[in-house]
Amino acid sequence: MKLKRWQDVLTDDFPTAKPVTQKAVDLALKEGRRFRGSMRVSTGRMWTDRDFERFRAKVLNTPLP
Amino acid sequence: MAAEPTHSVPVLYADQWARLVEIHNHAKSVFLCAEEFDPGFLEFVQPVMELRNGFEHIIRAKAAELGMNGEADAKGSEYVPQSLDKAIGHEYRAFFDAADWFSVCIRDRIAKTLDQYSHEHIVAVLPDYYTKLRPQIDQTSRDIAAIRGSKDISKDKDLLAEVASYRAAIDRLLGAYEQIEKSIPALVNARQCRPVHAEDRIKQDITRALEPYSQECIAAVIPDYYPKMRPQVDKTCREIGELRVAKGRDAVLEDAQYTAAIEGLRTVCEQVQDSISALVDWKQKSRWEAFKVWVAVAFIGGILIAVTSGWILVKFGLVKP
Repeated sequence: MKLKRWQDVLTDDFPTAKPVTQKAVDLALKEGRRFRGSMRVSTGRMWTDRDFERFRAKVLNTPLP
Repeated sequence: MAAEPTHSVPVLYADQWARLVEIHNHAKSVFLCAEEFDPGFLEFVQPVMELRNGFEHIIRAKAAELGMNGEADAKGSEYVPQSLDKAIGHEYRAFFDAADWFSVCIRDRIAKTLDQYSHEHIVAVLPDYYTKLRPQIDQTSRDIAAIRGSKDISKDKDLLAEVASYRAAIDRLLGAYEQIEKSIPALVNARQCRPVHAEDRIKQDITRALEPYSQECIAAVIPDYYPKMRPQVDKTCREIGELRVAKGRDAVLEDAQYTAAIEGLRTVCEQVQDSISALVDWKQKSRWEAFKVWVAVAFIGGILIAVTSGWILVKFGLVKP
């Protein structure tokens, strides 16, 4: 496999983002030292898709006092 | 419509760029705030992914403007505005993802903050909470859900107006939370100064009377306690609390419904008090029964061990029969 020229990738899309799973969070945590982006992501502090949906449903279904 | 750009250098597709800038910064503003409000200080990566995709379309549009994008030449003059529209679409989705995250976090905070205080304290400190604030928070949550539900991007849709509408809904939620947050010292103070009400005392009496006995014992002696009496006590206490909130602390004492509810609680308390001797008897009887079972088990176990040991000794010839 060869690298494409920049002109050839100008209209290519990035790979579709996969759902954020616990496995992805664990991997981010494991490889955190290589990562130079968000501190939260590099320390594994991010929502997985499933956890966020659960949290959202719980909050919206909880009546206010 | 987007705000009029104030630049002096002519820019191609200025209106689209202005909309892009405005929506992007709304999204950023909400995202930054949501990061601070998240209960576990977790990152939500979905808006970032949308920003990444939006950036991709911006690069394609700029490349077309500079004559560096071969596909643009084939597609004609519509390529750049179409790419910018796609970028705006991604910014729009990023805004909604961030805004949804933020609104959920702030509602969670409101619920957790107020959960520690009774209805009476909340009314005493925030008199318009039940009449204005809570309906407003609920309405805002419904508005947000409705806007989020119609998150499709059609060409004729005024995206900026929709973003502004969602932003206003979030500002209302934030305003409500700030009002509640400012009331926390007064709520704490009200809780500390709370007088012990008649229903609390009666409930405490019931709890103390039943504390030394197991659930099994209580269920055996007072069969109605768990299915009827205890739910009735909780319900009555709640109703008295609501009555006190509705009528006022002093006026409620004259209310016939209040008097009847307190009488009902006293009757339950008396029933429990009358059952104490039966509960004590049941507990002693239960201990005696348990002791008998233990002795029987120990006796049978001892016999079994003795028989097994004897059989092993005889089997291996260690002892002659």
